[in-house]
Amino acid sequence: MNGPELAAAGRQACLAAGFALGGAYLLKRQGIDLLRETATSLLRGSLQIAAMGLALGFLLRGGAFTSVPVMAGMALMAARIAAQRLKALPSRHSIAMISIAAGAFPGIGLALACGMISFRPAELLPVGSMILAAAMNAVSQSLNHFVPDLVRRKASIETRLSLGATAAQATADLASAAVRAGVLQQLNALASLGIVWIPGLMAGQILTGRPPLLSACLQFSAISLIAGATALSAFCAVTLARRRLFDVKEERFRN
Amino acid sequence: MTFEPGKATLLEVRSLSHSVPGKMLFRDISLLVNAGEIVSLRGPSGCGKSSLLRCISRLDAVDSGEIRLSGTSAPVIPVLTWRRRVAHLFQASLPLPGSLSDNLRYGPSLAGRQLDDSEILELLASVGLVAKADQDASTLSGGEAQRLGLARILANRPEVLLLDEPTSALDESSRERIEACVTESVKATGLACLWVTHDPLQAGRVAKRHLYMDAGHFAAEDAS
Repeated sequence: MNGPELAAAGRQACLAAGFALGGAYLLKRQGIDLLRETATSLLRGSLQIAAMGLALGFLLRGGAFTSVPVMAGMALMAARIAAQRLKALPSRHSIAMISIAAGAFPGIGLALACGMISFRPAELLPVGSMILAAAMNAVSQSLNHFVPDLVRRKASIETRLSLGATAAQATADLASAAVRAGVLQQLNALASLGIVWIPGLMAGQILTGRPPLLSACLQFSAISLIAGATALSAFCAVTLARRRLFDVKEERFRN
Repeated sequence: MTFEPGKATLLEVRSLSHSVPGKMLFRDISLLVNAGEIVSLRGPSGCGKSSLLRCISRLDAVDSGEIRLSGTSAPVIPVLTWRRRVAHLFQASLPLPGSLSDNLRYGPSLAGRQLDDSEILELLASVGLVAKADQDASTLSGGEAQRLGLARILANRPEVLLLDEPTSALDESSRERIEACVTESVKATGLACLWVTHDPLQAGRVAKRHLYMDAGHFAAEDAS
């Protein structure tokens, strides 16, 4: 990459970040203050993606052995990010980590097992990171619904408990809504695939000369794996959160 | 603690203590409630009455002490069975989704028992809501919701009723309905009832034995 190309890319990135900040500013004018969070996320994201861009250049040329520790590191970061808004949930980091792993790793494992991708970093990291990111979002979305709902609807839950319901029965509707919230985005993505959006993986494959039908097949497989991973992760997160917030033996909220 | 000879003790609380971090809510509380008896429990706000009821229904853990139901210690009885046998009516009952009939079916269905239509109508009639059996429960007024709450816990055929200021926010007509329903149920089925109230007149109307709690202790007990 030469100097003028880099300068042009920098200008484009600044323009895009300005667009995001503009949106946050408009929201702030409406009383929804996400400006600081947006600015911090943009700064953090830009540094991370720049570092990742440099690292990828090295990693993608590396051996298969580099993929696994990189994926593990990504999973740890994903758990940390998913847990950061859940201060009301005890053991939130471990719940997020286990839930992300429970969805993402079987998905990645299946992709490896069926030969869709190999351990080569150039294949494992892009697909694996998509699955990880989706699992992280599903965990974050579902727990951000479930935990505040439990607090808000404590009286209703205790009404059911006092009538002889288990904690699982008393919170079934909230758990269901939370899992739905976690997976809905991916189900929408799956339903609108190829109509509303053309995913980057497929576009990249076609650009590199792969037959469109094969690229479409790979993309469909990836999105399906992501949908499966998000469902597992969201379900796992809600189940673990419930076990952490309720005394399972006595079927009541923990003190 | 008073024991009325000739009547079986259904609910027995011995030396019960309960605290939350940094605060003792009540200490060394003992009481007995016999079959067919209503005991009133009064005391200033925050003295631990509601917490005592929550501990008896096992919604909160106790620090020490023992609760017995018909002579059997609480830990021996599975908690779900306990909550069907020891019914708890909160200060403001929340209707569950669905009709009034659905609300009454909820508790028994958890135990695998189907409530038939005649039982539902009988229960709703006892709280004056029979005409609204198929109505969406979310449309009920506060007083009607509380009456539905009472019918809902009675649908579980409990042995003990724990009533936490069940009429404190209700109009006179709803209050009378609830008092009549509880006293008749206690008389007819031999329930034991512990009734938390702020109203001394109500305590006098519904109960023959009265407990008074203050700052986490029983301050007085008398019979009328």
